[in-house]
Amino acid sequence: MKTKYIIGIVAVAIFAALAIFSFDSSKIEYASFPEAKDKAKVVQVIGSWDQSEGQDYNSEANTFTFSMIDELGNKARVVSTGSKPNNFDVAPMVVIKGKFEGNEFHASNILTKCPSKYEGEFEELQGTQLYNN
Amino acid sequence: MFGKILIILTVLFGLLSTILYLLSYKKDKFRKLGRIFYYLMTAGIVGASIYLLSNILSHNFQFTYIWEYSSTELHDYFLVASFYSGQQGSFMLWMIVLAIIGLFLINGTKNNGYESLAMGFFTSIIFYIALILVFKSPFDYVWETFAGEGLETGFMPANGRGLNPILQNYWITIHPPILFIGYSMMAVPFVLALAALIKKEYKTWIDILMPWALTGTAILGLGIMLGGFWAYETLGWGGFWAWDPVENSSLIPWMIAVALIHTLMVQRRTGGLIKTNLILGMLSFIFVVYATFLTRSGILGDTSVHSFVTPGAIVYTMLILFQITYLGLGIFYVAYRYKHINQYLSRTTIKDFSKEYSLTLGSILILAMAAIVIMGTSWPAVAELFGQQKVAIEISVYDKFGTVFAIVFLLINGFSLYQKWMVGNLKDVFGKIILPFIASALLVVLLAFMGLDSFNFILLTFAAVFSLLTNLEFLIRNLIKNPKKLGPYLSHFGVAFLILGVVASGGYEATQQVRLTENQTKSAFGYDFTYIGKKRIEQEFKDREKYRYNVSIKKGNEEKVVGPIIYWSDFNEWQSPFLEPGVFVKVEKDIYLAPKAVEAASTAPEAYLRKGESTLTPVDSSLRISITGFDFDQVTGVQGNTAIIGTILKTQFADENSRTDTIYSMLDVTTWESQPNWYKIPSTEVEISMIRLIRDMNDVHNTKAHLIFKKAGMPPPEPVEIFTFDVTIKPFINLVWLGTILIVVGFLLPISKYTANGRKNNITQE
Repeated sequence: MKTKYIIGIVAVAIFAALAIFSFDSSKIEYASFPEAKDKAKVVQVIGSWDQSEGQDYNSEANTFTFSMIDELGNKARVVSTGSKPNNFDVAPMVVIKGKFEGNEFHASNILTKCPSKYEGEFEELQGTQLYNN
Repeated sequence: MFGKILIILTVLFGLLSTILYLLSYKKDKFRKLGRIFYYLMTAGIVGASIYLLSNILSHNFQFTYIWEYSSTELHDYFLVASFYSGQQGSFMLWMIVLAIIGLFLINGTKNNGYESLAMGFFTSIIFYIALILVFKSPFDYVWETFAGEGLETGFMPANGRGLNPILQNYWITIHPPILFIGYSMMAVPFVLALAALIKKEYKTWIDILMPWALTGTAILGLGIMLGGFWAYETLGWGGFWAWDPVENSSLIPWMIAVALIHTLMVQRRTGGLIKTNLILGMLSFIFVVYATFLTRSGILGDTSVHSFVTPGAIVYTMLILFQITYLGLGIFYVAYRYKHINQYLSRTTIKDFSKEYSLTLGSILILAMAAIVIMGTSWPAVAELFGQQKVAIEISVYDKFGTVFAIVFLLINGFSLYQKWMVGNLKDVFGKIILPFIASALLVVLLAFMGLDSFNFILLTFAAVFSLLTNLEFLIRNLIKNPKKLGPYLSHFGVAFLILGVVASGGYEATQQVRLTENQTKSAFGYDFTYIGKKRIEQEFKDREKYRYNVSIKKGNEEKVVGPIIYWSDFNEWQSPFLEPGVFVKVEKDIYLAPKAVEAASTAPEAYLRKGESTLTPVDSSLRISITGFDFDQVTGVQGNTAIIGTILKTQFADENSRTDTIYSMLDVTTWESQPNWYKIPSTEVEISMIRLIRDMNDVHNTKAHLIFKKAGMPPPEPVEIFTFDVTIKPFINLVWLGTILIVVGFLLPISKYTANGRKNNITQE
């Protein structure tokens, strides 16, 4: 019985170590643009797209390009494969995953956040014309 | 007020029922009273739900919740869905489903001595959720939510904000309720295990539990699968599973429940694994609560495609307390009864290399995979808790572990079919599996020649085929003789199918982009794709413009028209389109058309020029034009979203003379495109317009102008629409759906057998 417990504990320990190692080595850190450039590996960047710089979907190359400002205010050009994500234009926050190639950030994934649409803001309520019941 | 009063009554009745039920364990006279208050509580919940629903149906946008999640444009069945589209409503749904399940649970426990404790704990869960709804009420009025903004009492917004159009699909009326029923049913093993621990009856409870566990697991599994199918078929995620936290949070309890069913079988047959069953019985509910916390508290906000709302400090704290309460209860009672159970356990043990040995191993594998999913899903939240840098998890880790576990799991499954309960005879088993083993090996070799290449896939396919063949053998053997025994074989047959479907559709899919103008044909993967035109649908709705882009897919005599959908909506102020895929479902593969974009392309002759480059004009080859520069001075005149930019053109005539003109374009600064503004080059028959600036942020000199030309005086050619879509071939994806259906049916088949057993055992109980 005792040996069984030892084998069990060892197996669990090996499994846990393996799992922790795998997750730890596969985790993707959040970074600012300068950090992302330094690290030269896949990271995630949180920010918002820069409306003054515009955006472009090139259907021949199937790439979507825009400028993004990260949370610290650094700006970079972002290129991703595929079309413009749903809700991109109205998203106050964008999370991109990818790495720098030269001066362009190549994103493999763009996540758009649209929190205002899930819980109402007073401004919206004012926007919908009100009448007294 | 009415709704809030009903919720408060629900809380009070729930509390009373909980107390009375728990007291009735010692004093049976309270039991009837506990039951009466349970019925009253249920009436309160049903009343509150009907009240909310009727207000949704009558568009009473005075309620913030209704204003947030519905609108007058919604179909009746989407209005019903907006009941549970937000956080408060989904707690309501959870509560009402629990309350109804409780009615059945009363029926199932009133004659076997489990009612007092089981219903006491069960009611406490409902009480807890109702309490959350007191603080996060669906019945807040807009002037309460936005108190201090000066809204008059009685204000009625003219319309609600509506439901996210992505969700406006019949699946939203099917998938969430089924998932919630499955979620809610996980509470039953929890309360029965707690009751068993207190009653010190570690045997009888599993007979009561078995049909509940099977039904709950089947329904939760069905709910998860429907979610995957919904994502694949209409949400256009391209796949059916993405290891997203929200998906994981329903998968974790399901996997624990599946492991529980296996360990329950072991206990029924051998009397072993008593503690395991008590713990697993509680664990699946604990993880339902944990998942609720992860997905409702907003802490995973950045890492999921699902969007969450931060519910506020009170609800956050309550969710944590909710978890701690039930986890604490579970841990306390297991520790409290630990020694007592061990006395019970001493005479039973699991025989090496017997059937129960394999079942236990299989359960361990499922639990190990569940542990991986729990770790991966919690990692970002835990990392933040410890003040570490924010991280996300690469989902390939799940695939790696999943592959290894699945291989071993499938092999053990095939092996276990030939094993006997309480007898460990390996030699006997080896003799019997040799045939299916060789048959599987041969089949996989054949598949390897047909293109199955990666080592992982070969092993996984081999294991799946092995499990498939062995289960098939037992299915056939028992088909006539013993139809009630088919369940496990059918489920595992389904698992093997599912794994094969995952390997084929995930590992061997191929994608190609196709761009078509109307009636143009291009081929991809041996099929001819023709865009045959678009059709406006759902015209009765003013809040959207929805088109079906019909594409004919043809190969030989086979032809099918599929219609991916692109639409614009008020919901995001018509800023970008929503996309829905179109699928050509065939037996051996799906041809999946994911729309990407529609653009109006000019059919006028065109040229792309950088500064300093030149070209012969397409309409008059005696002229050569070049761009000598751009006039950005006018940019200062940016108005709204448009900027005026001048393109300085040099035109060279055949006789070496030349002239310079500046043509102006009004460019939209988000797209840098412009409507054509035709300019006739003096003393020529050529009109020219600059319609788009293709900018290069890194190198200004690389900026190109998109020029179009026409003959002077001719009407400009009509622009044509270009429809761009991705064609993806998904081989054998039908195996995934078929496999899951078989798994679910397999869980449901043996229920009648166990309910009959349960009744029989009730009589013989101590």
